Amino acid sequence: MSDNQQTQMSREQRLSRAYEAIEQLSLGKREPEIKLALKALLVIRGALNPDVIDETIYRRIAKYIRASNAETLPELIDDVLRNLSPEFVAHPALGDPVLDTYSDETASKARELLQEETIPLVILMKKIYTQFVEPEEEEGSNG
Amino acid sequence: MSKFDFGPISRTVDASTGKGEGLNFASLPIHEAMAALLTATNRDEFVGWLWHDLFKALFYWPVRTKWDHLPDKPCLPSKVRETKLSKVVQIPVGLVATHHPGAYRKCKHLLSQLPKFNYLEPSTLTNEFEQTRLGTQARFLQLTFLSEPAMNTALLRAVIADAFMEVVTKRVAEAIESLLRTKSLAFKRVRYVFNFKRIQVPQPPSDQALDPLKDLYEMRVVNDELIISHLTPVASKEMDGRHIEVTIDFTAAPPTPGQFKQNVISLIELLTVYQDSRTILMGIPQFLRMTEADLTQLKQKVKDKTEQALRILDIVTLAEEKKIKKQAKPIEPVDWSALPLKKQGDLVDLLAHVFDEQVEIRLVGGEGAQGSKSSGKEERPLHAIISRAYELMEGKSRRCRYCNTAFESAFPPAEAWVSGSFSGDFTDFEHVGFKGDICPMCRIYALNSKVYTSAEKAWGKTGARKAYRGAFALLTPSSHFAYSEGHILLEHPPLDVGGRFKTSLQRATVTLQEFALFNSLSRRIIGEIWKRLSGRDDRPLPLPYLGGILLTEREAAQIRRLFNHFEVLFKEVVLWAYPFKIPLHPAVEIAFEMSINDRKQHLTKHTYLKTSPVIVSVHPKSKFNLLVDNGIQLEVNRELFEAKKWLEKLLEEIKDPKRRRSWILAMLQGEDPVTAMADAFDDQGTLWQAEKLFWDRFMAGDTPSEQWENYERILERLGRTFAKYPMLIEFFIKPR
Repeated sequence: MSDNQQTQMSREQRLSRAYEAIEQLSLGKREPEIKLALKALLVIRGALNPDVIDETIYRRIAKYIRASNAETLPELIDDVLRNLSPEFVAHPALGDPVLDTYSDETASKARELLQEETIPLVILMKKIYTQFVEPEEEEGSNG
Repeated sequence: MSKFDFGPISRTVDASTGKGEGLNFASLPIHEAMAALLTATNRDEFVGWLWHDLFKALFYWPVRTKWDHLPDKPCLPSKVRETKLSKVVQIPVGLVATHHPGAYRKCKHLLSQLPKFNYLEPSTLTNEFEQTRLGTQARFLQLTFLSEPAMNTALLRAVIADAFMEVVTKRVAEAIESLLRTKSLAFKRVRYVFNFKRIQVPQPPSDQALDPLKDLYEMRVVNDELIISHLTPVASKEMDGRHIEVTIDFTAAPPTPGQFKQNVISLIELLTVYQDSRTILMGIPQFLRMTEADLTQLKQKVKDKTEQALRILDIVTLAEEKKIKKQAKPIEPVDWSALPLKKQGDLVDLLAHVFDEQVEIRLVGGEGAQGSKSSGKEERPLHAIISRAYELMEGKSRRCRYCNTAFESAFPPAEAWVSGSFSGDFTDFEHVGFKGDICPMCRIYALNSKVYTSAEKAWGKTGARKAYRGAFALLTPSSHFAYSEGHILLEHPPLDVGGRFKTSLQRATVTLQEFALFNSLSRRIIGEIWKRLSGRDDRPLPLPYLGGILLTEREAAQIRRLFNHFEVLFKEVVLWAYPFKIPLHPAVEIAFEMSINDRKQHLTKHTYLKTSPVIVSVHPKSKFNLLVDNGIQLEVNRELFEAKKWLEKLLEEIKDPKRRRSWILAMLQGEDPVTAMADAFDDQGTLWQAEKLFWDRFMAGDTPSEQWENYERILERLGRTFAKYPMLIEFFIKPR
């Protein structure tokens, strides 16, 4: 997909494409929990209030994930979003990934994984996000 | 891979019987040069032995058990080919022809008319069957240390060994030079040239077919060099056109890595028949006169050279009497003035005591040798000769607390006094035994503390002594070796009519020549390490005649760099000796300690008491332990170097040592590498470094799936690496 085509798509559509892209990934033995962790990160990143986004955003996402005491994946997402900005933006396209985070066993593994291997997952999500949602971030944000 | 090629093989017999089917490793130039050195009694014989097996390079086997290699047919009176060759080098015609008198059993009358060698190979060179016997007529000089191979005496023993080898080599080189000067044609080196060419001859080959090939063999002297050219007929296209040159240097010049690369074999290599940490056996020519007086003079020269070398290393051997008295408490009251102590002025000459009490240089065989009145026909078991140290130490009643050596000495029997020898701060008692005396070699070790004496200060010494304590590295060649079955016949030599190489030669047999060969390989491996360390190939090694590298605390930084080149020790070693390719494992002896992070007063640490020399087989699967930072035993193997290199690559974009170390610490605590990288740059507030310097460089892939796959591969490999080598962090220097 060209940048031009992407900009013509709505943000909702782009978030949906990112979600689909995560679903299509082939990620080895730990695939279910990695996919779910990426979806959780997509929810966090996608729902962020644009006012709080700067070049340190990914570092801050990672920081709050690692510092969180949340016991479930949805709690973790909520925790991070509230720490970054309580005024987050709700997107219908994030409904599916949010729903996925309520799955029982995998969600628990995904939360653990997200807190243990935070940075590689954040970077991978950033790669997906810049490819499907915000291509301009690639140049603009080093976060 | 380290590949060596000294020309084609020279023998295929089983050394234990002189018959059978054995694979010998020593190439033709080594065999011929050693025959000249150990067997010749005069100039003509010396020159004759240098090419006596010339035509072996043809690999003409008319029958399976006969390697036809004499220049002419023995029972034909005319020696056409030998005449031509002998004239070039000014030796009597017929001398070379008679090196196998058995070939004349059908024409004995002809043999009696021909000139002959005084000694033949079986009595000097080729009957040293299976490492058990030395040639009955061969002559050797043997250096023996009456000392256990302890680390704290390794440096002193190595310096003495180097001096001994230098003195002997120079003496032999002088003798060769005057021998070769007796005729107008003089040379200092012999260059053996082997040209491998595809040939086509009728089977079986007729004399008419072989003669033109033999005519391609020639000798000529150019400048100081005798050039001996051989044709080695080959069958395959792959072998066609190969060209091997081996130069034997009969001067006493110490070898350099550059010469090793040019396939120069130096005199010291050929003379070194056996070498371990207790004894060195050097072959000497029959024509080198060596009386008891010569031997005494030689020993004095060795001592003088040693003294000089130790001075350069800043190691003292002269001690004030009060220092000597502090080293040990005599068991009974002693009248020191009545003791037969060796002195230089008022100072006790400890090195003189070492030479008198712990070093023996003797002649084995020859007029000055012990038992020289014997017929020379008795067997000379090699094990009896190389175990000379045990023989000499047997029955000695005193035992050294520091090196466990049994000894006798002019110093009074005493109890070693550790805090008197070193200082009241000495804490390494677990390394020095519970009780015992102190031998002269260990007295020298004890004497060399970091503090200069008032006399040394008066001579201008300043700072602290950086010798004999702290970091050190000693790499020396070893005669030990290993051979595992697996040689490959490169091709079937085309003139092997009898089928010598049709079936494989099962037994690998080791003779005196193989000992010299293995020692040479070991020297070349150390030479390669030295070349990499010094960045030059024209510089002899620090212990040039011993073939060793010696560095002390003064060169602590160089020792750290030296360690990085130890990966040479994990290469495959392959010897090409036509028609074979043979995997071999020569050995290197290593005594080593390096400081990486322990820099504070490292020069005061008694590292020499804390470890032992190790003999390392050069092989990809070798492993050994080395002492690091005065307290850590590090297992060293090929994987360690691979892991270290890989880590350096992963971290090459991180210039700050503090961040590098922080990354490794995080890895050791179980973090993933990307998170560890982000944490190492935590103060930067972004993930830029983790993403750009790490993820994008090492996890790069077209798709996120590929990137994650690469990440997991690196994560897994790092996990394995740090679990196996937690010590790797020591190589990433702690920031000051």
